[in-house]
Amino acid sequence: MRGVLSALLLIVLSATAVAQVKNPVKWAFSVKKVSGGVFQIHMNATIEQGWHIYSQSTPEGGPIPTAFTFSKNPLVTVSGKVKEIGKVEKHFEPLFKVDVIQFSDKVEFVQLVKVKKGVKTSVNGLVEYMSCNDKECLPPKEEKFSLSLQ
Amino acid sequence: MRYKVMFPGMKSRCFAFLMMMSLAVMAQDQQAPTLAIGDKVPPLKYGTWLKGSPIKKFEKGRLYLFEFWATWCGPCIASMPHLSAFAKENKDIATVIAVNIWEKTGDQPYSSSLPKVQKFVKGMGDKMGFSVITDSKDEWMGNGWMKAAGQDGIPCTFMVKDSVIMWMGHPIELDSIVKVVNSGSYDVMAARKARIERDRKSDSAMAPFQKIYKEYETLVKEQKYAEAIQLLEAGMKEPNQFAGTFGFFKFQTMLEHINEDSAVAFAKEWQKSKPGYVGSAGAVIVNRPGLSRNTYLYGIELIKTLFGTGQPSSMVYNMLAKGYANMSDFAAAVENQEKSVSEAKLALKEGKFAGFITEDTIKEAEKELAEYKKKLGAKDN
Repeated sequence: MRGVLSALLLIVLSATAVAQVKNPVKWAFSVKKVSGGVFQIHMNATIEQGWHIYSQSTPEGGPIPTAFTFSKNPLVTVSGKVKEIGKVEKHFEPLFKVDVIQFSDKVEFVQLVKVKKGVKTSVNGLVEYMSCNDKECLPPKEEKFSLSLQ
Repeated sequence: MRYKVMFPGMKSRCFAFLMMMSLAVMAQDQQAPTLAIGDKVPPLKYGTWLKGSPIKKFEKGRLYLFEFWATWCGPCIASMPHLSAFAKENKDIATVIAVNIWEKTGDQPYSSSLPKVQKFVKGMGDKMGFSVITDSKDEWMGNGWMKAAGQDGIPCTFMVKDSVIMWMGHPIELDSIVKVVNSGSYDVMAARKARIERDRKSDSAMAPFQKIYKEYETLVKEQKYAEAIQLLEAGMKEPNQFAGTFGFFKFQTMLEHINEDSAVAFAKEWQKSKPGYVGSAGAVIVNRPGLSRNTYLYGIELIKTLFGTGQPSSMVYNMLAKGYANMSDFAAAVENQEKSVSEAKLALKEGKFAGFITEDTIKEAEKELAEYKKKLGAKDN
């Protein structure tokens, strides 16, 4: 799969060189009700071929890790950490002298939140992420989301 | 992104398609650049001159290369040893200045990034054999140079001669472009005109696509799939070169959100008109779990047409294996994945598809093979 993707990298590069403005990561946000007052917040990234985004646990000194911030809401308890579901690509990067932990193609981030049963509210937040391919990097960008919990 | 994989054989369409995606995005996010090749260079405003001697003015006839980078940017760091060699070789005619931008400082003032950058530059030593500056506290270099010029990725080089921007681009092209610029026959205004004309042409060619694509994206987001498909159908009828692309979107939307059987029925009819996107449609099928056996067989049939079209056969076998694995035919998945691995090894030995088939991609293919074998064993027992 990765092979097929990279074979097309050249086409992608020449296309983006023309258009210059790049947006290789698309985010989709959704809510899944688990039970009474428990919800999963799904934050899914679809990543263009050849590009990567970086795990929350990417060590300091390498690329900037993806980070999630949930706005404070007294009706919502954010429970535990954001889970990462995807194919982790981890390698030691001599350029940075640290391990780089990245995702390609797609990755799902899931946060569990709790609200008092029967309460209707919303969860707001943002994801900050940067992306690179083999040739270049795009600076950290923010993507906001707002989802209703009911 | 609504697509997974594009296959050549339809190269020009893919190219147009990808370009359109980028432009659609540009229309939403970005303002038109205000700085171009041929313009007078903006003022040089920096935070700290970390390495080398500060320049007082641009010497006549001398080239100044402003290389934009950040500590978190692997490709920027990777390009530095070569840039150092370039600076050394061309020290009589060119000055290289690495401009650190876009460091992450959160709520802190931008200048708080200085210690980190200083440490980095010190650690790099001779691998940064050129001047280094940091951005000013109002991030003038990142905004007034890079963003103003519509450059959103790093590394990126601005070449300045006699206070005029001669060229902007990826440093990989530096050696060849310096020769061109210094050959005496480089016409910066012609280069500017060509660049602007090219952007304008692609903009107007993409306009009909952009409009429909944006509406389509919104409808899918709102889960109004029937309306999205109606829109695509209208797009397919319009006299433009995007009918194939819209057809492909229609197929994908139907498969993912409406009904598998009607999606396949549509694809079969649609493919009769030779719209291209054969491999793409096949790839969407074989990569998607949970479809019916007949759908996978159709996807496999489409993928098989890619043999002999210039695609690495290892990749075609890999896709076939995926299709078979998804329909739980692990014997066929193993058989195809074995061919994928051996073809990839052969290609690597022969140096074909260099950079696309690597030790790493082979390792990954072997991992997939082991998985299929495991599942085959589990099924047999």
